[in-house]
Amino acid sequence: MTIEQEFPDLTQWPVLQGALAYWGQTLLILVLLGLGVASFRDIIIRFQDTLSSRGFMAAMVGLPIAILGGILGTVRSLAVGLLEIVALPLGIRRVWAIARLAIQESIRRRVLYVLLLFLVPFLFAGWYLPKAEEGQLLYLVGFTNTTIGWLLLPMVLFVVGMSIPNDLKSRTIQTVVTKPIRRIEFIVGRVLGFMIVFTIVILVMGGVSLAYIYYQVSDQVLRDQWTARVPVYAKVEDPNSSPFYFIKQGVAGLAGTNVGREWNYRSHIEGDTPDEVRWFFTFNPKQFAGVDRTKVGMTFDVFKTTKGNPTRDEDESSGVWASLDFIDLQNPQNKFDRAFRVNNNRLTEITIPTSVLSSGQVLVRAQCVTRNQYIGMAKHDLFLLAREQSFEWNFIKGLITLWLKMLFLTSVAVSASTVLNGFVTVIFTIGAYVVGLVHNFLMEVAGGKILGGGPIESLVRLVTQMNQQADIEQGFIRSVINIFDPILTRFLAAVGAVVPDLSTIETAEYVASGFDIPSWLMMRNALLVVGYVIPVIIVGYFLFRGRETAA
Amino acid sequence: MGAGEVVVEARNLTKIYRDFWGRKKVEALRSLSMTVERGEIFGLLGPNGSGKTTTIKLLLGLLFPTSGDALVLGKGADDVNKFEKIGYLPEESYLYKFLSAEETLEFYGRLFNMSRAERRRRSAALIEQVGLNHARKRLVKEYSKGMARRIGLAQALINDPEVVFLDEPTSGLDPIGTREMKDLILDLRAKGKTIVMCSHLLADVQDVCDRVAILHQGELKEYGRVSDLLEIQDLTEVRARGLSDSAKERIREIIAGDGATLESMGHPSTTLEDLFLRIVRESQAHPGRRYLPERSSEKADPASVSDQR
Repeated sequence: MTIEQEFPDLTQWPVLQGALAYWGQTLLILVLLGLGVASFRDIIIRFQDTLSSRGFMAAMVGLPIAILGGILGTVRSLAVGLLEIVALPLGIRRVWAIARLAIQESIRRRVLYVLLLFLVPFLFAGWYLPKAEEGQLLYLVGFTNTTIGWLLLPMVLFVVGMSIPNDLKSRTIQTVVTKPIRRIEFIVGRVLGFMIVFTIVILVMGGVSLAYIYYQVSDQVLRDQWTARVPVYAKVEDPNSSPFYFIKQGVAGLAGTNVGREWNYRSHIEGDTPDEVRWFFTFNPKQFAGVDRTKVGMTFDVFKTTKGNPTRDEDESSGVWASLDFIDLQNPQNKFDRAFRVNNNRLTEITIPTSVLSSGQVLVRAQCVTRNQYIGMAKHDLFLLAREQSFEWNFIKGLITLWLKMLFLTSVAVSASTVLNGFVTVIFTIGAYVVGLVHNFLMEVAGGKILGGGPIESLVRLVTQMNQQADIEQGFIRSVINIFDPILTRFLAAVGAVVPDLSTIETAEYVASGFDIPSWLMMRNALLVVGYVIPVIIVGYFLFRGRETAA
Repeated sequence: MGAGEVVVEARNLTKIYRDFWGRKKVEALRSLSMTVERGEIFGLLGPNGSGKTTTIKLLLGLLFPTSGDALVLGKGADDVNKFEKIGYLPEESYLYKFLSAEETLEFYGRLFNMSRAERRRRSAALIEQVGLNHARKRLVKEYSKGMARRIGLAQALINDPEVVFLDEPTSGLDPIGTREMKDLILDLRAKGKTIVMCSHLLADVQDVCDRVAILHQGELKEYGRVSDLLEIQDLTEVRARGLSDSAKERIREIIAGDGATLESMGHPSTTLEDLFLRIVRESQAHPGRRYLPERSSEKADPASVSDQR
């Protein structure tokens, strides 16, 4: 379990306030942009009308009036629209009517048969289950989450994406919109109805998965890993100082010795030298009260410079050893030290007396004991285990993440389907989903951080089998690349700026490695998705309002 | 008819269909101006593609006018509140096929923010009224065209509307259904509702409409009271029952003496619709018996006399 990126603590109100203000600004820009586009279209149509009926001169003379009329018309339409959005709670019965309809449609069209399809992979999953205890839970949680996700995806795409286009095609929409229902109620009702169906599907699939995992894993795994640890990480109150640093040859710094690992998440300290790593912990001591001994977890990396297996189980004296000192900062006499053999890249747990944590301010110093070997550490590699939550609840929290993803896709599909036909909606939504998944890569390509250049350049390299570093000679191809790649990468950056990074809301790894999904992460994910869903629905609403339902 | 209060109004209503680039494709409706008053049955007449349905859709906000105004109960196209008092039966009953008749009416009732009790009461009464009691639990997809039409009408009336728009109300109905639909339309007028219907079945329009507008290629060609539009001023019709041959002869003489021309004199035929309905009624009263027309009552047959001045 590695935490490479740290996120602002959204439980802190000022941080949240800042985020909300930023979100509000973005929404405002979006509204103004939409206003501009709508006005422009209106103006063009007015201009063309005069052009065709009264000729060019009249159209030019009438242009200012057309512009004014276009802007006023759009502003008025926007105002009416915003009023309808604000009045949404008044139409809750109508929203519910539409939601019920979506549920009935899903049931009567036998969408829930997908649940049977879901059982098929389970018949064969056991064949590939690793025998070793270590990977079992990881494999099973990964497997069930992936299965649920990939079965829900086509369901969202086809059921949701085809729904409104079907209504338009069969013209049933005409009997609906000639009732006193607002378009926003229609859209929200649809999203709500489908989400109720997906919630049921996720709950059923999740329940089956949990039972399946429970009966598949070995007793050993149930004893050791069937849990959700709540770790307390190094933290200091002062935002200007780091709670984690290295001391290398007497100098403090954020990195230790570079041993040449490509992944620079961890930095190393050399064995049998005074070099050390320090973590500062500030926490509420009450969360450790009531028990004599507290667990401390670590995931360290071993880098060895001599031959042989450093972590041979059968030989006690082999391996790489580390020593830890726990010092109460309020009372330096109150301390505890312990040496232990490091599991390479695997969780090592030791227990310490809880008394050393009594003040709520603790310094932990780590040193590598074994000569000529190195140990790599990062801020989140050592943590105190406050308490453990149930694995089941954590699994459900993992499902909530999945649910959030489906919420995003559902609202994108519903909004897109108000103007696109069913097939195009499906393609559009798949596009949004894929961009969300490869967001990181996309932004790196857009930012020029990937070797091999932009889309055209990499296409040329691919076709001509040229390696990524070689220079492309000056000439026609180079000119084409120079002209089009900047345009395409800007386009990619724009797309990336609109679509959320869906890979960052992933939480399955927490569940699989037995760590409680932190509440701040759940909150951030929820805010991220809701922050997207609201504008997406509003955009869908305005598109739908501007659309003739009988064409 | 009508208390003079205007409930539906089109002012210079124009609809131009455009292509993707906003260029003009078809001018479906050209500067239509007309009014419908409270309590009358108004018919929009015209051949296919004349703009009848476009007019209704513009009035209902299903299409947006290119210019002009479409007002219903004084409210424009984007005012959703007007739908509280409007009922609409589209050309074909566009209903959710996976719902039953009861669920359909429940659903539309919810859209009017009706309470549960009111929805139940209204939908039970309407299902009874359109004669679908035996099929209330069946899914709409299993319905025949006529049944779908009836449940379509029921959904249009779920809110007890003041103004009802009917697009080809008798299309797809058998003669009995057509007659029932026409009776129902007249019944609605008796209850003070305003009805706007469009049709190309002229007989239906003639039977029920108070006023009509005749459209052709998007333009209004004729507009007024049906009785005024259809009356032939210089023809006189006399209908009598039990007239003797000698009396008929005397009438001929009078006409000739007056210097007018006798156009025709004979026995009028009934309409096929009337005959069909009589047969069905007879058959229901006496199952298994073949229909016997009243041939023997030759002398009781009405005779009609028409003359021309």
